Order: sequence, then structure tokens, then C-alpha cells
Amino acid sequence: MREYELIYILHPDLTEEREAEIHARLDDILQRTNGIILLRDDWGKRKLAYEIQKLQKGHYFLLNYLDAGTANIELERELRLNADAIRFLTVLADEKVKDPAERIATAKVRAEEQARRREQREREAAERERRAAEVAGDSPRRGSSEEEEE
Amino acid sequence: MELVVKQPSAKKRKRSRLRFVRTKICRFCSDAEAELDYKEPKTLRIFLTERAKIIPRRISGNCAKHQRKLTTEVKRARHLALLPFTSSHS
Repeated sequence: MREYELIYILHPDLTEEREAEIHARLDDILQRTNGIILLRDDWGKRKLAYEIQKLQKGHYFLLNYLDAGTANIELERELRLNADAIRFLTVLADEKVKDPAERIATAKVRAEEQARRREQREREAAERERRAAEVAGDSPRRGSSEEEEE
Repeated sequence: MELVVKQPSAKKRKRSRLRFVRTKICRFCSDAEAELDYKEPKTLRIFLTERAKIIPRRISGNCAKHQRKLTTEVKRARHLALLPFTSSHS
């Protein structure tokens, strides 16, 4: 078994159902090749360092899996044919995994960690939004008062 | 540095020695926890110039092994748009 890391960037404006559909298709391929999914991480929508297909943002996903080495060709073909996937990269993380069970256990710990981080990120995003709403709520009032003065 | 064929004047030699400011210890060899990973563009950014070029080994002080690692990781990060290939054009 080998451990792989697959990062793929999806179009930022997809519906959640469409995203879930793409994930499911990748999972299907892995199931067919008897691969084991260790972890799927949602990095959220990030700003791209440069424009890709005129897009400024992308939705990043990390898929960590164990496989004998047949799945990556299929996975990459799927992503290449999918117009909603704007970039992907497969990296061989470990060439010889001796104990898959141990990997699965550590992946579980990491998944929990990531869930915690995601929660925090969401909290922070909500905070930012609230602050932005406050600022937005302030400025129109100021604008209207100026108009009244005129 | 020892191989000086022509003996430069004392003034010149002093200046050239002063210009060499470099970190001599590879920070990834001395710190076991510090690691290079394409998923962490923040740490990779330290080794890029403002124009997003990779800083050479003779300036960054990385050892050969870690400089090689740095190059592959930066290139991976660039492909995933986590790092720029260059500063934005205007």
C-alpha cells in the first residue's frame, strides 16, 4: 500500500450538491480499486496566488488515501475531464505503508483536529461578517445624513 | 575564500568581506521540527524574493538536501496557486 495526497481545486461558485457529487465520484473510483480514504479536508475558499481561468478564488480540497497505485490514474482522469476542477496535484506521501491500520488511526486523530480548526475558522468568518455588517450599517447612515444637510 | 590569486588592496579586501552576510547554519538541519511542505506556503514564502524567485543557497544558508526539498515544495505550491510564479504584472 502507498499513501497518497491528492489536492484538487474546484470552481468557487459550485453548489454544495455539485461538490458532493464530485467527491462521491472520486470515492467511487477509490472503492473500485480497493483504496482506503484516510481523510478528506476542506481548506475552504482561498484566494489564488494568480488567476486561473480568470478566477480569483478556488475551493481547495485535500484527499489522503491508501492505494496499491492504480487509483491515481483514474482519479486524475476524472479530474481532468471535469470542467469544475480547475487544478489538481497528486503527491506520493509514503511509498511503503507497512501498517495500514495505524495510518487509519492517526488519520482519525488528524480528522478530529481538522474539524476543530474548521469550526474555529467558521467562527472567525462569522465574526468578520458581523463586523463587516456593522461597518456597512454605519456608512449608509452617514451617507444619508450628508444628503440631509445638503 | 582562501584562493585569492591577486592580492587586493587592504581597503578592497575589507569591503568585500563586509558584503558577505550569510546564515551559515541550515535551519532545517538544526531544527528538527521545522519542515518544508507545499501545504504551508507561509514558511516557503520566507525563501522567496519579492519577485517570488527562490533565494539561492549561498544567501539563505540552506544545506543542499534542504534546498532541493525547498525547490520541489515551492514548485508544487506554485502549481496549486498557493504561491505566485512572479509578482503581479501591471
